[in-house]
Amino acid sequence: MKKGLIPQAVALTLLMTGAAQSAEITVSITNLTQGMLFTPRLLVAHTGAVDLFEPGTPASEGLTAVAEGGDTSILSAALDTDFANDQRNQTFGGPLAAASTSADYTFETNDHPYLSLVTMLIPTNDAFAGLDRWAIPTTPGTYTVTLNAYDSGTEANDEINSATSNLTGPDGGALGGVGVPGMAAPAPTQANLGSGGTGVAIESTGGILEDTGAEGNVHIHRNVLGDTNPNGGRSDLDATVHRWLNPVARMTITVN
Amino acid sequence: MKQTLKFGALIVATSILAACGSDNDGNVVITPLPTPEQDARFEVSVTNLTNAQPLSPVAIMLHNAGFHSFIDGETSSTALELLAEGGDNSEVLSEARAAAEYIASGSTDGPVPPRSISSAVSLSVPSDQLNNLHLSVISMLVHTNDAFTGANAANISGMAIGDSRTMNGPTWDSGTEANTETRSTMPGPDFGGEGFNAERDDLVDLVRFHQSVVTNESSEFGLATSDLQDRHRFLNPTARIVVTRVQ
Repeated sequence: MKKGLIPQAVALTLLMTGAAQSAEITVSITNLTQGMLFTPRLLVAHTGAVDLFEPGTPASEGLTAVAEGGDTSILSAALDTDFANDQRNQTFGGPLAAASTSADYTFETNDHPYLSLVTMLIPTNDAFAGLDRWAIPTTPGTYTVTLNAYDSGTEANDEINSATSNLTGPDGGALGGVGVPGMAAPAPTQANLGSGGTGVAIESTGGILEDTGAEGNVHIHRNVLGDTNPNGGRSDLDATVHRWLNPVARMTITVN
Repeated sequence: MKQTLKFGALIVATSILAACGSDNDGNVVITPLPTPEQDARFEVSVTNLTNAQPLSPVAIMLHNAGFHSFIDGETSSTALELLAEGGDNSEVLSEARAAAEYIASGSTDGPVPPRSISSAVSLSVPSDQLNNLHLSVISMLVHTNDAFTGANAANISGMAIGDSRTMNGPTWDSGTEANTETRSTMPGPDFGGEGFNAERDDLVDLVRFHQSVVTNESSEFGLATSDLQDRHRFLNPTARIVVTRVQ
């Protein structure tokens, strides 16, 4: 907090006792898609050394849990125990419906220079919307930034609804979790989901969806396909509902 | 039409004050003004970046912050529905003109064909309105049910003479008509179907970004009842908007 405060140092120390490592921002996020729900949002303020995701490289275990299951706890814990890289993270909100805007989140950045965010797109296998190391402006004002959809590269895009599928994973296990095929698809997203699909990027054989075909590195998501057969076909997604074009989200950030 | 009053009003200000009501500046302008500042002038052109989607006559609006023709995640106005379903920009423009934040507006002469650049639309802006200047642009992708492109209150404050700004238009879905992609529900040269219909039968009645068209090209992943073909597909951005301050 040395920069820029020096001319007003006397007045500020009187007014802001104990606030030397503090900068509060307000963040809201708009889900611009028509058929994708956003899971709770992990917001991170950090130094230049922290990188939640990097296209062209493998996803971390924490990012995988976000992208496949909407679970931010592993990534959050990994950030908190990485003492070499200073950051502050917090998970905001519940499910954010398609075509809606979240509440305003008040977030303490601890004066870190960069902001990142990840949130899973449901129902998908491993799609997430990401803000990748955005430089927080030092000039007070309201800023908007749009987010693209990425594929974590950790799970094949089979587009199978794990909640209704008769298929099983490789060892007869359930579909849908982190590290196994099938899309996580909780109740609010079931309305437009089909069942009985045989798989898109990978196809089932003998009622089993083999855990193969993950792409390998984080990349811009190539979009889902879906089909128009709610009781069969290849995909359990609906081609007229679940597709998207980038960007998929807009963040509005107010720097005080 | 504020800017025309600025000059004419000096002479007739006292006689129209009663009718005008709100223009209280009139009573201090007795002595000759210094040379009145010339209005700024902006030119806006729109490039249709799509392969086979004509853009309907483009509504172009300059206004102060606070005015929006639409808001993502909220319900479309009937004015926007008219434009997004039928390409009629008249109500969107008159809604803008009625807003307190209104400065100027215009429309391209006609549709902007695929893969082409529109002629420039010229707009005058009083020189005291340049520091809170916002641009809204709206045009329908004609061979769709209710898709539109443009810019939503983009901040173009503080442009100097000769400055130019380029922005890419994403594609919205007005949320007012189901994306059936059938011939009878899409207007334009390829289909000639119905434009505006007051019924709202979309997935959700909310403005959001468009997912693009499905088309009938794929037997496995397409929409068999669609009359759209491969050539009608699009990705973002669908329009490029160039605004230049020429005076």
